[in-house]
Amino acid sequence: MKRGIALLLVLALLLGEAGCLAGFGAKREYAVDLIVKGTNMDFWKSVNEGAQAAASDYRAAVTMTGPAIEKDYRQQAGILKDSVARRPDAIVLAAADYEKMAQPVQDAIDAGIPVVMVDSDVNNSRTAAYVGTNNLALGRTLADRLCRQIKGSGEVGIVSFMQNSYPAIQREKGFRDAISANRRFTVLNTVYGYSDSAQAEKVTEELIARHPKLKAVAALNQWSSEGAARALSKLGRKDVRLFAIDCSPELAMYMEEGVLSMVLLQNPYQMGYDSVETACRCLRGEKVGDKFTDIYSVDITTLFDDKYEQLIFPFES
Amino acid sequence: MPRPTRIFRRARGVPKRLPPFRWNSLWMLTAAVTLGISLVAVLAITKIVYAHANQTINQSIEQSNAQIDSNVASSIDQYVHEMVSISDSVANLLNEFPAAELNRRLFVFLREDIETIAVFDRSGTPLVATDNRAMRSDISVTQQSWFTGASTSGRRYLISQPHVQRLYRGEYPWVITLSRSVSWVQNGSKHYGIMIVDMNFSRIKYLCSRDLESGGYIYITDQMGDVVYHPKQQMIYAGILPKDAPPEENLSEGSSVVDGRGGKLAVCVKTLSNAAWRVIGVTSMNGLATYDGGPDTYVEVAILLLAAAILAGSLFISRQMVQPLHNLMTLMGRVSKGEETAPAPVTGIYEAGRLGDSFNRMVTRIRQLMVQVRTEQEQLHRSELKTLNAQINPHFLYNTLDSVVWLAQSGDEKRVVQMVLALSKYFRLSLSGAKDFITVGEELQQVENYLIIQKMRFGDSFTYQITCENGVRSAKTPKIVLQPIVENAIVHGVGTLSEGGKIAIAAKRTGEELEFSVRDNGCGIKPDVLAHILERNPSSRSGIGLKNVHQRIRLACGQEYGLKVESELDEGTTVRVRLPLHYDAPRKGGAG
Repeated sequence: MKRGIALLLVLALLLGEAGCLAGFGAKREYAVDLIVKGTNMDFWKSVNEGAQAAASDYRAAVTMTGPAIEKDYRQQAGILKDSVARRPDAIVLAAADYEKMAQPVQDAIDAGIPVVMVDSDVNNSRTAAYVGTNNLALGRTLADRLCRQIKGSGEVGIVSFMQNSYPAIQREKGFRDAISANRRFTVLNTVYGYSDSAQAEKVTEELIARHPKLKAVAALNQWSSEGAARALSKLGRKDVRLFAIDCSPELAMYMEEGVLSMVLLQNPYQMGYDSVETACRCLRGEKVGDKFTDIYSVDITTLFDDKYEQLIFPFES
Repeated sequence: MPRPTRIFRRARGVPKRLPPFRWNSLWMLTAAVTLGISLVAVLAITKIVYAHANQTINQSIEQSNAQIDSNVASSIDQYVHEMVSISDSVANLLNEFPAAELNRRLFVFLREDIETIAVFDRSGTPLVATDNRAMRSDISVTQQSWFTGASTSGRRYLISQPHVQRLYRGEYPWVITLSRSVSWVQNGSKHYGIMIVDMNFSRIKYLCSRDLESGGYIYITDQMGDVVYHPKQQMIYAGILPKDAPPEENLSEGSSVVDGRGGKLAVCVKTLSNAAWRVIGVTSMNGLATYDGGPDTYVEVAILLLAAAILAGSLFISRQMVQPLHNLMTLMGRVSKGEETAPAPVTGIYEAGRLGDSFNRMVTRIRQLMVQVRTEQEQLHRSELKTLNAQINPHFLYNTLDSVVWLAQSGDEKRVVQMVLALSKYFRLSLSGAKDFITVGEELQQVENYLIIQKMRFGDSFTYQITCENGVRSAKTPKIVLQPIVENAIVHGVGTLSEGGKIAIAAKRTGEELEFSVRDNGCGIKPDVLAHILERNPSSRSGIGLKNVHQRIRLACGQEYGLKVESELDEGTTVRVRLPLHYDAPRKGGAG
């Protein structure tokens, strides 16, 4: 008797819920926290724009948080912990440190929140997916372009940004592997600019001083590239070719002036969009996997193409 | 003696508890059906209301979309118009002042949203500029599309796509360039050149960045369909086509509704009057779904409460409907078990009332039939009784008459007279009208007459003694109870003795009962015969008198009364007769 009424009640509740769904036909919003490495940086602003575009397509609410500028991983770990406490549906994270963020990420996953890695991966196999540039391929492509454009043989320098940054390690590895396959060039010991243009300029000057016959320099991120370009411009060494990853208006100027031979562009907007899309699809229960975003190779002939202009020159707002 | 009927004595009320649960019961069926119908109705109404709200909201979306779009279009129009006016003023000044002089005067036109105003001669050499920064010499001005466009097109002015301007070293502002051919007279000769006004793109962007209602957006194309401004430009470059992008071929001036990939879109196209641009506003017509995803919690709670209320209501209503039937069912169950019940209610729901009424009639009819059957059965018993009585009388009469004949033959007149007298008295009592019950005194008198007759017949070979307790003499007893027993005692008991036989007859009160006892000291009855002596067995002729008496008593007074025979071989037999103690003859016949 009681069981029967309980069954009927359950039936009624199901029908009621079905009524809710049939009547309103809309899915709930997902709350997604986007934790980046520096909210004031153009790159991450662009990631956020892409993320917001995906948010409106997938009916999600994306909140960007993170330190204002790229700093120690500890600050990001604290921000991640605060985010977990707010219990968003998913977290999209650009790890400040490949190893040291592994545990905080594990804590988030243990709290039942799926974590999608964007741009910078973390040493944790239980993240939902990685969305961003294939840094190994990025390094390889850079080496490939370099080999194609420079005849003969000689020494090649690398200006990287962090010893223990996973993207830096991957880019360098890809670059070195591809270069050594070519056998024409000797790759020198890597110097580090620590994501600071002035520091990168200094180490590049030192590098050139140590190796006057340097044929080319590969700079592995925007600040390394800017520093290297400034150093080369200051020294007037147009014979040393600069191959860079990421571009800025300053670098565009150096390219126009012939200091910078080629840049590889990443697509932060796409990273933002795809990472949030991946997070939402994961929340919907779909199977998601890693996704590599586009890489564009730009030189002076294509610098002002519509397609790249917006990636290089940010709108002033 | 018939037992009084008790059918209507103790009535039990109508049952009030819930009927036991059965899936296939009418209650559950009715509940499920009402529930189903109500929910279907609620869903249908919700759907209709929802569709109506959707339509209304979509209409308002379309209207507000068109409104905002035309507002934005007129703002941009006005803005471009301002820029054109500025260029007009500068063009006029060119006629009044030499280039060097003009450089100092142009600053009045500088505003935050104007990047540069400059005039180039036909070879691309800058003549006039708003500020003193050195223009780059490494770019060929004459190759720029704004330069070539203005010099070749027949239009008064040209508005470029947004682009990165590279006039100064290291500066890459996003601008929209208004360029036009200008001519001025200086020192009597006419000069031709190109003037540009670089408008900061952020201004246009700001004008367009007004969000339309419900996630809509505004974008601008030129007449060729190339995008001038699109809030999701990067998305398009990244190869992700926005879901709500309207198909290009469906764009026509004014407000319309088109089918996009993600559903219906409200699209409003407004062509600017002085720029060759089209301002296009796009909004998804998602109706209610536009607003914040799913339903609010309170709506959900309300719907769940409604569902619960419908459930409770359907259970209650169906119970109300089924309850009378269930009551009737319980009553029928009781009646079928032979219990007494109250009549079924005939008020309330019409059908159930009619059913109850019919049921009551049926029960009444059954009871009448039961009474009738009982009456008929009693009549049958009485006739059987009469037959038994009739059986006794001739039997005894023949024997006595035989004795009289025998006495008469022996010439003993005195004893013949005595016997005939006793016989006469005996029959006077036996045939005392239709009365089935006589007093104990009469019965004892009767049996004494019989004993007188029999004692003579058996040649005084036995003696008898009759005792009667005070107060039972006037009690009532069925007639001719003792005579067959005494006959049996004589024939099978003392009759077999040559002399010294004794028969003791007593009547006494035992509790609420009357007890006769007939004791003889005859040869007794064999145990195997004794065991079955009172059973109704047509094949056995022995003790037929005892059986008759026993049956008659049980028929007339009830199953608990009757005879009890105790006997021991060569010691004697005692027959006890148990009867109800009455002083009035019981009513004849059964109930009714």
